[in-house]
Amino acid sequence: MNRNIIISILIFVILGLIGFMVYDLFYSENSHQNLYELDTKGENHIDPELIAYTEINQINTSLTELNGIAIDTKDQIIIAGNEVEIYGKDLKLTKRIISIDTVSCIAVNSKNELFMGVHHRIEVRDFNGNLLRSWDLENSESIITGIAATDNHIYVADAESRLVYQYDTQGKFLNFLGKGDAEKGIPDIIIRSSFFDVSIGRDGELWMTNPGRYLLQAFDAKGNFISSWGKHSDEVEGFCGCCNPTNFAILSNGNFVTSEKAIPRIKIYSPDGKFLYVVASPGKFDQGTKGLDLAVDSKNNIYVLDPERKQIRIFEKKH
Amino acid sequence: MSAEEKNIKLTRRDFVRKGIQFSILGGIGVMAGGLLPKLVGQEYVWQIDTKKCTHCGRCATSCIKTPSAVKCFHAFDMCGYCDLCGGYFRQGVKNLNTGAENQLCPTAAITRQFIEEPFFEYHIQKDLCIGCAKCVKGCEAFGNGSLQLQVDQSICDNCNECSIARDCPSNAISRVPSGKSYLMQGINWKNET
Repeated sequence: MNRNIIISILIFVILGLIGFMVYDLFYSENSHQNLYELDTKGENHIDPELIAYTEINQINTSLTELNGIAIDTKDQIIIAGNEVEIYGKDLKLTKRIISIDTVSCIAVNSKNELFMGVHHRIEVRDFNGNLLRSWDLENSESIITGIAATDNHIYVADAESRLVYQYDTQGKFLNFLGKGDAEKGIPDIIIRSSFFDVSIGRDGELWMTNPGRYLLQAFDAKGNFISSWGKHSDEVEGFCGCCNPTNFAILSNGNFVTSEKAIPRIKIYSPDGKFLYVVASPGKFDQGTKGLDLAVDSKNNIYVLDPERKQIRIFEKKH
Repeated sequence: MSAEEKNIKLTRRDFVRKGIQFSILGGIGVMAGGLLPKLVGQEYVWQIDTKKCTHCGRCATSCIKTPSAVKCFHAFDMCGYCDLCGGYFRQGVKNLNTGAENQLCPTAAITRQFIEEPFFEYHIQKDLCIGCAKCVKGCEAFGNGSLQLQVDQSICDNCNECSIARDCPSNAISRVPSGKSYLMQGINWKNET
């Protein structure tokens, strides 16, 4: 064979090898992969068929810290954090209540009384921000993470004592709810992070999260255990991570809306705890989002408090 | 008087004397310049900003030290003492026990200790930890984020140019004053170098 041809072929081969090495070193996908990187992207995938809600609107709040949301019977939206903001049904700001201390959670009853958790104190204010009454929890170390109100009772979730305090509307202590009882098969509340939520059911019963056991539990007004549901699972049907759900709300038909941290997602469960569908998938939220408090209006639209984006995000069921 | 006449008047003795004086002054200046930053200023060390860290795993392989000077640190105040620890167990394990096949850490550097039902305490064995951040990512993804990567100042050579900082995709590593050499969240660190 001609010597020049052999030299040409060798030069092409060498150039090809150099090109391959340059590509492999600097441009190949493999060069950016790391042997030790833990891939958690798969955990965030949700089948689009399961998503039954669509986001229809947002409220951009002016709060720097968002902790809790409540909706009254007239569909006014009350947001608590470093201040309290009240938005009308048209999503326009109507009132701002300046609070000296950060409000950790909020509830409203049919008498238009706002119940706010502030450190280990409960403050009751009207919609103009006037203080009607207040009282301290017995334990000064209490961490109030959730509050629910009926016209007769106030329920305060304390993540420190892992119990729910029951008061009358004037602040008189009545009972502890959520105590475990091994003989009756009632599990202790386990809190692994500062999320412990409460809400009132259709029949006036109190529902509370038991995040360390991946449960929601119901008690009557006398403190008797009624029922519980929930399970841990890496699949969408269950609650993920170390301790979930973080927050929940109850729709008018008795279905539960739950939110989770770690894999931030919002789902709907039937009254007996059967998974139904997804409201918002993890892709809807920024990485590390947690504390997605929930509220429901008279049309069963779901209002999600997004502390990362400082927004209230409104979801409506697809038709 | 012209400049030439001035130069003529500078005797050899004067020249030597002035030369010695300048040398002494210059020496004192150099010494003061070297000592002053150490007396009034601060040294700087490399550290990871946990808020910027994306747990990509490059700290394990980019450090000139073997194993890496980057280690996992545990902020116990943030820990949920979980039975199902996202930093300890691989996703989808069936049995929550200490079997090697269940552990996420490639070097089994995390020990799991039973406290009381259902609480477990997790400790990092620094000599085994290679700073790969698998546990850190697992803890953040499924738990409270109490496991965090930090440059262990007792191991770090404090290179002039940190090879991890050069490779870090999120620019999470920077020089910080040695008085605040640890940047963990959820912990009041003593900040001892």
